[in-house]
Amino acid sequence: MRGGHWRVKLVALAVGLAFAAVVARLIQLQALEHQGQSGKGVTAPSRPKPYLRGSILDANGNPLVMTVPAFKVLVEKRAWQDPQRALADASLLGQVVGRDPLEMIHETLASPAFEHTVAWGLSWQKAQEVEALRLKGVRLVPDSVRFYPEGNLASQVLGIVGRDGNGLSGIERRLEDVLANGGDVILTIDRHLQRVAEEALDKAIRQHGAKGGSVMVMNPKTGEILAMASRPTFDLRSPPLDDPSSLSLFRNPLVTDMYEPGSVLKLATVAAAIDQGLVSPHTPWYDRGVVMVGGWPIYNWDYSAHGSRTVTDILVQSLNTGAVWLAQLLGPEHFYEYLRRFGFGKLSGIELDGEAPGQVRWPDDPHWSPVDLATNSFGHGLAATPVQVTTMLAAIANDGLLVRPHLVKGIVTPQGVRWTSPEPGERVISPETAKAVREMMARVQPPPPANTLLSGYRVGGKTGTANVVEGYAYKPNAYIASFAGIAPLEDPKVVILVKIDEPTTVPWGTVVAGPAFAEIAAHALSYFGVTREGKLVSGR
Amino acid sequence: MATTRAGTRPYRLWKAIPWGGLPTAIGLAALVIGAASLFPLSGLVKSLVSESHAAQLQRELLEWETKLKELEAHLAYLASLQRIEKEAEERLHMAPPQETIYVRVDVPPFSIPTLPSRYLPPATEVEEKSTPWWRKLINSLPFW
Repeated sequence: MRGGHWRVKLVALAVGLAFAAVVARLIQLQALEHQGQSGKGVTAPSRPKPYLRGSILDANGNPLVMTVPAFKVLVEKRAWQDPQRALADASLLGQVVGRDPLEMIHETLASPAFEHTVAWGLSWQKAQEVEALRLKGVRLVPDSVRFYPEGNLASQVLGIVGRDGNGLSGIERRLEDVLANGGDVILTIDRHLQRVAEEALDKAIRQHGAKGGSVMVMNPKTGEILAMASRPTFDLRSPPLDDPSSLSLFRNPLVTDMYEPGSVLKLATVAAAIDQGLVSPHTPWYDRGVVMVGGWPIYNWDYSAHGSRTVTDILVQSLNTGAVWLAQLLGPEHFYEYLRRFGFGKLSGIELDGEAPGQVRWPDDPHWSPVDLATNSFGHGLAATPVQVTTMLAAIANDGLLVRPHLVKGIVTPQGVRWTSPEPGERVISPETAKAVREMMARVQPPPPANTLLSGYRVGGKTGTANVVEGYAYKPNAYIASFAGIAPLEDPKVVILVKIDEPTTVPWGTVVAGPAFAEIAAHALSYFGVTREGKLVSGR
Repeated sequence: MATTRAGTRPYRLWKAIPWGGLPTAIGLAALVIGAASLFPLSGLVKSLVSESHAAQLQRELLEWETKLKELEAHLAYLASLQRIEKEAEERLHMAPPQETIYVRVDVPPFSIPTLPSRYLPPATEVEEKSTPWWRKLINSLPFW
């Protein structure tokens, strides 16, 4: 009996203690620690901060591509199972986002996912209108769109981003880490020169019924690429991502595609021979019109013998036999050493993916023969990228110093601006040799009437006509016409390479690519404040 | 009611609880719990209001940031070369400069070819009748 009482008391005490513990915990949580606990379990803000990719700017800070906040509309598949309700909601939604209601319903119901995105890139105002509809199963998600203020300018340099916001090509891909974290990229591209270069390229392609072409403008003293464009290209605002045959448009042929530079390479041959002290611009030479190398005849482009000529004539009249003579004077060791120094056969280091190093058969290759030396001397039998050819030209313009071509001028992050540090350059030829070659180039001019655009300026160039390599053979009746020039010759501001692929009129570089060079050079010199007499009145 | 074996007085559970028995204890506990719940209610309400206000402010911030970015994009469009050219042509009625190219040719100018007289058209002989002497006299008079 007595034993039962104490058991009951024990249970009552335990219950009482449990109550007390609960009460104590409640007081602790709600009275003492409520400040610390506040926020936990409360729903997050209605929308997270939108994801903003960084901008790409031109050399003067003008945006070439930037990100604008936007919204996308997602619809739950189950919310539109009822046809009547789906049609009613989709009609309301379609009026705001500008889409066909039936199309949206069809897409949503056919989607394998729980939700389907029915609209992208909505502005804040549009997003507000969608939200005001208060449609069940419809929600807004912060998004962003890339905006191109200059249209398709420098499309292959900029590159594209996918729908997931990741860079797929060009600078967008190469500097993904910077851009994805909100950093801005300042390019060396100047939008004015880029526009002029693209217009001149388009005009040349149109006039000569060409398949395509490329143009590149570089500051020879710094290696900054001021303009860079190729055709055909693509529309940045609606890239043909669904068309596999169009994928080649996204690469930058100036960097990824190799070609036989043709007679433009005679600049390197002549420069090497002068630099070695073997010849001078006035050294006489007799052209018989053909030279036999390893049992193979090598002719001039016009199959003619020109008789008594000078080294300058070899460059001006683009005599293959003369180039072979100079290369044989140099010998393979020196000739290929100069090719290496000019940057052929190796990557230039430009900030674009997929760069090709070019193809040169060096003398240590077991398949090399003296015929290679002969054909290489006038730019055949080897392959180079347009960037490599322009870099070679820049070394001649820069008194013999080779600078690394580059596209990125600076990177802007919250920590500050990181500018690309100028590199001193590597000595290829002496300043005297470079000047002598430039003077020889002065005798190669764009044809009339385009040359009048450059009246009062001293510019010079070198033409090139090469065959198109297709597979392991030359494509019949297909040529690449090019013009590589320096402006002005005394104190070069720009070097320009214009390359036109497969013109259908004539194959000559002077006629096909020369006028485009003249237009770009005239605009560039005017833009940089160079007077017609060659004096700099206001530097930039 | 709990009972014990026959012959004994029934045991009441509430008597085991001090201060008035079990109902009182439960009532007191309920009161305490209720009081504890009510105590932080004002703080909780205040917290919820603050959260709502913060969410509203964050939403406004997001709106302003979005509008700022949209304005930046619009500014970039206004300063673009395409738009400048379009405005120049459409609103200011400007035209791209026409390059006039003059080509100087270093050859003497063409001379007018002279043909033998037999190939020339016959000269029209205009026989002007000479003015008679009396007409000259009349014309010379000052009052005529």
